[in-house]
Amino acid sequence: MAERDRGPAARNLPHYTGPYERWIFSRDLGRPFAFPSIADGPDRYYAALAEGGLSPDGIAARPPNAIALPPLWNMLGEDLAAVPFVVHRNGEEMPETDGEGPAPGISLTQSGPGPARDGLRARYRLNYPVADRSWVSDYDETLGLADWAEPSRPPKVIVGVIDDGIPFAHRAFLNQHGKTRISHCWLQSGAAGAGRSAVPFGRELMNTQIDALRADHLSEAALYLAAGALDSALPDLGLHLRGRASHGAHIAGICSGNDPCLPGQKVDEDIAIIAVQLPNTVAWDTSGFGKEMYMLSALHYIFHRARLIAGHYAPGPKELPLIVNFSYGWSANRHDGGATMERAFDELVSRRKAIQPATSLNMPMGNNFAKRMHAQITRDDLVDDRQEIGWWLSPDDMTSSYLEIWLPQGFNTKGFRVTVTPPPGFATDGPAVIELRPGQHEGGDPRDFADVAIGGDIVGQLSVDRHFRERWRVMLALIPTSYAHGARRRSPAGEWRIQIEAPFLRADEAVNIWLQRDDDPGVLRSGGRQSHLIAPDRPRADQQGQDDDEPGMLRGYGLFNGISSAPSVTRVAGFDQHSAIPSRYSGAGGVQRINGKVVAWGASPAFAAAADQGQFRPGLPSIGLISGSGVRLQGTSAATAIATRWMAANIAEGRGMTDGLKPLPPLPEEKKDRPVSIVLQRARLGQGLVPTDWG
Amino acid sequence: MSASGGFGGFGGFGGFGGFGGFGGLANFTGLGGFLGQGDTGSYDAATTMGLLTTSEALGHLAGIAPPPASDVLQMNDPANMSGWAVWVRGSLYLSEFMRGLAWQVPGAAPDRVSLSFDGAPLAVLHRPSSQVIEDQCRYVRDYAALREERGTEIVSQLGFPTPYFAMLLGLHSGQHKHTFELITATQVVAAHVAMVAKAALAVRRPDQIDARVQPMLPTPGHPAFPSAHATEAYAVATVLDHLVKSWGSLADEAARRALIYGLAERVAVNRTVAGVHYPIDSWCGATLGSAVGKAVLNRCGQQTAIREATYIAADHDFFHLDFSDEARAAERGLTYAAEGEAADAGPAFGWLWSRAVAERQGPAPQGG
Repeated sequence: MAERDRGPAARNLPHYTGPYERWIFSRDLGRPFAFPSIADGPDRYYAALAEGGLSPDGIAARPPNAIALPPLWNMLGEDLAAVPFVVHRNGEEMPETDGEGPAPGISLTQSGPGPARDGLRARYRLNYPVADRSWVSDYDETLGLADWAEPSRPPKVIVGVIDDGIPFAHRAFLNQHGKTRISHCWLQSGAAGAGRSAVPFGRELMNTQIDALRADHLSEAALYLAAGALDSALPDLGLHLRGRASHGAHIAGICSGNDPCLPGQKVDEDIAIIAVQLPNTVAWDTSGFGKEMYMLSALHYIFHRARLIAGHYAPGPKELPLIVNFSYGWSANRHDGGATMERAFDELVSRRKAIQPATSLNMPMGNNFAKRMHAQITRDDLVDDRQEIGWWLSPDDMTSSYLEIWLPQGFNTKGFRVTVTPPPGFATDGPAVIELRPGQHEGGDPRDFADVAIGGDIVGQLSVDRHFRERWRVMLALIPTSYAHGARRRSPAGEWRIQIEAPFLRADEAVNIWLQRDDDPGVLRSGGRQSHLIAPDRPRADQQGQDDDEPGMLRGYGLFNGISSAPSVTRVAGFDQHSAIPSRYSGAGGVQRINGKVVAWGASPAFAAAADQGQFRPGLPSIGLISGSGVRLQGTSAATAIATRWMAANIAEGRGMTDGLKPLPPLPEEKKDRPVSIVLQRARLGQGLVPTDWG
Repeated sequence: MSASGGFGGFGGFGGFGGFGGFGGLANFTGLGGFLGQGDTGSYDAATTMGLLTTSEALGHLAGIAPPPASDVLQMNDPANMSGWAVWVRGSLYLSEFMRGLAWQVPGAAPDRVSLSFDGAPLAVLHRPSSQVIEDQCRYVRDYAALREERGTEIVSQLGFPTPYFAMLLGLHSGQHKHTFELITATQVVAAHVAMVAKAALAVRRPDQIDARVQPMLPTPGHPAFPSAHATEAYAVATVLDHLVKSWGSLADEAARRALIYGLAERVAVNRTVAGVHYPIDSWCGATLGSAVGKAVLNRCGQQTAIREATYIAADHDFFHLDFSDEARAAERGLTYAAEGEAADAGPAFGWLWSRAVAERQGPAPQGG
């Protein structure tokens, strides 16, 4: 894309170094342990995200910088809550400054009306770089249907799949004529092909190209190699499609595949698929950092291509029914719909629903219910205005660990203070304390930082920031507990103590704590290990109690996908198909005791779908990567895919999207008149169960 | 009777089965049972009877004259070594090494053990305080979280973890049988030295201090401090590090050497994960093992100064980075004498070293 002109009214678009950005880009903090492409230093193409409400057409770069916008679903040129883009210097390496990455060398402007909406001030944040070989030198956004052929029957509904490892050549996605039902597939971290491309980075494959590849190659491995979908020199792509199974294959198969491995009702010919393969390493980093541009541009892409297909069938509907399955998320965040991704998702889905009501973005509740990653502290939990909670870090953790404390909107900050104490045997160099007082305001949210040092080594960062000037967050980031990646410093493993002092916490308010996901997604070999919280109010051996007990400080209720709280998003929980009870791991909506009564707070699941076939058949079967292979995976991602398949079938067969939802199972006799049991059941299963017979 | 039946002839080693690092003969992987290997034992009854009748039938063919004069073997000649059964060589390595070892525990209020080798001071290991031991249980409990992931690896390392070292260096029995023998000999002598120190210092195991430890392995029948696994792993790492350098045939030598020490660290830490060792046991074992490794190198004719190490345990976790950096180690209780002394070479180890060095891939250096 050509560099955009700066209008006369162009204003500076500031760069925001939030707590994660400061941590990830600072050599003395978390940078050595960041995703390799960041840790390794300067790159040429940086993904970025402008947020705070601004017009994409109003964003421009001052030379020598330039920007490129991915395909955006924004026909009316409206302001967007977030704009994904790539900033670059026409192929030159972008110099970096410690603490801020390439930002000091980048000068962006914004033009157009208003400084902001919702009182927000627009700014941009940097994301993970795009690999040089993935960069498209001849980007032409008008090519959207160039290699697309009309399918045998016009699509009644489109299924969008955003995931890793998408086996786009798999036989499960063929129609009865042997042609693929995958209309478009964007490999975001694929090597750019020769010639013009309708995506600014990676590789796009349309249905005729996939069919031609299938015709040319008997071996799927050879096909993927020829398609640029296997490339060991591209770490974000790698050789994942050569394996036996991937999350994306499993999910795409359940969403819309026909295969002997898939027990569900057959998917009809007239359900088309648009897929986006995220960088396979998207799960590497254990923070929320760096992925948002890729995620948001994936959703825009699906909306955009779906519109092109609808346009081909003019004068049909402007937009076709569309169910997007996005089985991804992270665990810490605001959990109130106010996160940038949530605002952006909500805006896109709401605007599309206004044109085509049969539009849904399906996201999983997450799989962390039993992982002790969330705690809630209310007024009743405070003793002398204080409470202390433990944060246990595993030995041999090779990645950073993150804890976020979110305070309610309108919270009285007076006297609020967080004090951090390392495990026994260690002492910080000076007190590790932070209060809700902004030391910095410019270029983003009010914020302040305090580094945590032990024996002269910085091992952590305490920060406060008032997110979008709405809610205060306290964050503690800690470096690995192992000497990872050649570093000569580490955090002590064991139990850190987090003391919260909140003298003005009201009875109807709550302090919520979440940990970020920190496991090791197998093939990525990040060496991450999940930390957990330790609450003082229950025995160590029984920290969360029984699932249907009224929760203590530490609870699975409120521990759900941290980017799924947008009102228009369809959140899906998981249940055991055999017993109709919630899957033990399935994330749940929040509950809070106010004035003696337990009530729900925040987002809850829309409904639940099967995630397990039974206690002794955990997970669901689906396809593997290579045609003919099968694999069983467990999680609410699979439940979400079940919901996607069901909703698409409903539309294709002329019913409402969620027609046929079964009522929740009756509570046992001893609980049916207990109000708390009803609240808890809804928090776990939503409004009903998706009818399923997955074998 | 199978060859292993002859293990009885190695009676003095019968006690090995109970050693922490020895774990039982079945785990003598990589060398196929070093200690019994090559022992002839006796034949089964039928063969024995058959031999008797055959001997009676054929004996007359050899005539009745006295035997003629034969060449004699050179006495005490290392060149004979290749003709001895492996278990015999094992005995020689052990004897040759152990003749240099001496140890002393102060009389009235014993608080440490001092070890020397050929009269040169090796290490002074102080008994950890009860407070440190109690504090260290916290680490043992925390490391238990890794049992699920490392369980298989830990169980497979009950014996000597030779396959793990072999994996890092591409060793195979066709080419590297003397390298395997050197590894095993080093492990055996290191285990003996560790038992001496353990017995002197008599520190209870973590599960005998803290009921929450609940190890995933049987509580070993010997004390905790120092860890024999750490002693053996660091002794082997020290010897292999020198061997890889002497080979000079691996282009990625620096990476291999880093891997060797990475493995030694992991083997040591695995014992904490299992719940049978405190991190300070690894500190002490790594200290002792490094000294043993240097002593072995001296016996091999590779003159290496051994600086006396003094370890006074404090409540720290164990990492190779901290152990290998002397300034960091000093902050954690491990210090070294400024100067060191070398020890004597020995014919058995000298012979073994010359064979192991010749097992480099590519032309042998100096036509050897």
